[in-house]
Order: sequence, then structure tokens, then C-alpha cells
Amino acid sequence: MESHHAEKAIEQYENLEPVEVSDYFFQKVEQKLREQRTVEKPSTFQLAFLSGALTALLVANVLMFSTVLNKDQMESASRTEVMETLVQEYRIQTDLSFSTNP
Amino acid sequence: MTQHIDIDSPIFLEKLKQGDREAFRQLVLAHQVQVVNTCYRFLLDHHDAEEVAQDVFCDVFQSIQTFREKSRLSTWVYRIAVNRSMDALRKQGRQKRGGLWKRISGMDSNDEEAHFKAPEHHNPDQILSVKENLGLVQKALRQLPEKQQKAFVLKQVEGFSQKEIAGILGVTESAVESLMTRARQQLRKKLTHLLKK
Repeated sequence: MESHHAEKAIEQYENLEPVEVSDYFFQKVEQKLREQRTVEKPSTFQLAFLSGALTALLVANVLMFSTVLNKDQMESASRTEVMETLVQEYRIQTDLSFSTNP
Repeated sequence: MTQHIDIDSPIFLEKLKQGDREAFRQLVLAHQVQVVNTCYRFLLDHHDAEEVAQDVFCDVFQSIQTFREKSRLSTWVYRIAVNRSMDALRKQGRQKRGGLWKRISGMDSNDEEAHFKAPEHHNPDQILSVKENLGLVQKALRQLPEKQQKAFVLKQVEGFSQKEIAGILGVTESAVESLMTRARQQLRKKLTHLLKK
């Protein structure tokens, strides 16, 4: 029973009538092409603006990086100075204590 | 007077590659019926078939530079039509899986049986039964291996010779014959299985 039904359904598919093409088919193709062109291709101004923005971002990043790096170096330099002062002070104190002791 | 143009000639191809609008118009006019009907056989929806066919011609226009002339231009166009239709079917499948709410709420007007062209002598009951059957055939077809699916569907499109189908699928003519036979057998099996459910 089912196999007979299946055969009938296949025959209906095989005997499907062809469809006609609607009017203005070519115009619709052209319209789609135009739409795709406007979506896909940015203008020269847009491209220039985008590349400018990207360059600015890159420069800002480089500047920020170098500032952080400089600050870090300055901090480590001042830390060394403090240590040196402390050592010097300790040395003076120890010298003093040696000289005051009998 | 209509001038006969050989769209497979090198001169015509050169015009197309140069972006000649008139040549492109002639190509569309020469193949639109066959391309729409090819898509229709896959999608079983007139509206969707036209949409996909329009995309096919857009693809042809945009990628004509990549056409290597290993086959006839028309064969290349139909190959794009077949691949585009298969993509649309896959997309429909994904949308169907994701569109449960739409189906429950009845918002999905884009069901696979819609907009098919019923024979004029059929009454509404017959049309409904044909719609149901075509829906089942399409469901069963989707379960076949891709090459069998393509061979079976192309066989049903008016105007394609076995040689042309072989060209579109990139196989030999004898392979097309065997693909068709296996496709029909498998289709009958799958359909019987679906009808038992």
C-alpha cells in the first residue's frame, strides 16, 4: 500500500509542470547586482577615513606603550637611588658607632 | 527581428568578460527559463526558485573572470544553479530546525510546499494531496546522497540531455545513468518508510 503511494508521489513529482518566468526578471537581476555593488564596495572617502582612524589608533597605542615604559624605567631608577641613599646612611651610622665606641 | 546569438562562442564570452551589459542580458534571456525551472525542481517553490535564479545570474556576472572554459558556458551556469539550489535547501533546513516557534505559531509562511504550480485541472482536494506528496518527495530526496539527488532532479528538468547532466555533475554519462537508477530506488524506499511513520 505504502509502496504504491510512494510510486504515485514520485510520478507526481516527475510530472510537475514547468513554471514560467515572471516579467522583469532581468531587471530584478540588475537591481540585485546594483544592491550588491553598493553594499560590497565602500567609497574612497570611507576607505580613507577608516585607514586614518586605524593609523591614529596605532600611533596612540605606540605612544601609550612608550609612556608606560618610560615611567617604569623612571620608577626603577628612583628605587635604586633610594637604596643607595639608605646604604650610604647605614655606612655613615656604622662608621660613627665604631668611632664613638672605645 | 531577433538576431541569433551563439552564447557559447569565444566572442560572446569575451564580451561578457568585459562586462558588456547587452551580452549579459542576452545570456539571461537565453537561460532564465531553464535556470528558474532547475531551481524550482529542487526547491518546489516558484518564488524561491526565482530568487535563487536571480542570485545565480548575479554570481555568473561577478565571477565570469574565473570561468576557465573547461566546459560550455551554459554548463557552468547550470552548475552554479544546482549548487545555489542545494545551498538554499540547506539554509531552509537550518531555518526549519531553528524555526519551531514560527511553525507552532503559524507565522512561517515559507513552508516547503508553498507556491508550487498545481496542474490546472486539479480540484482543491487533489491540489492538497499533491502538495503533501511533493513535500514528502522533497523530504525523501534530501535524505539521498548529494550526487544522486542532483542527478534525479536534473533528469526531471525539461531540456537536459544525459550528456548535459553529466557535464553539470562532472561525471560520465554512464555514471549519470547509474546515479539515476539508484536515486529512484532509494527514493522509493525512503518514501515508503516516511509513509509508514
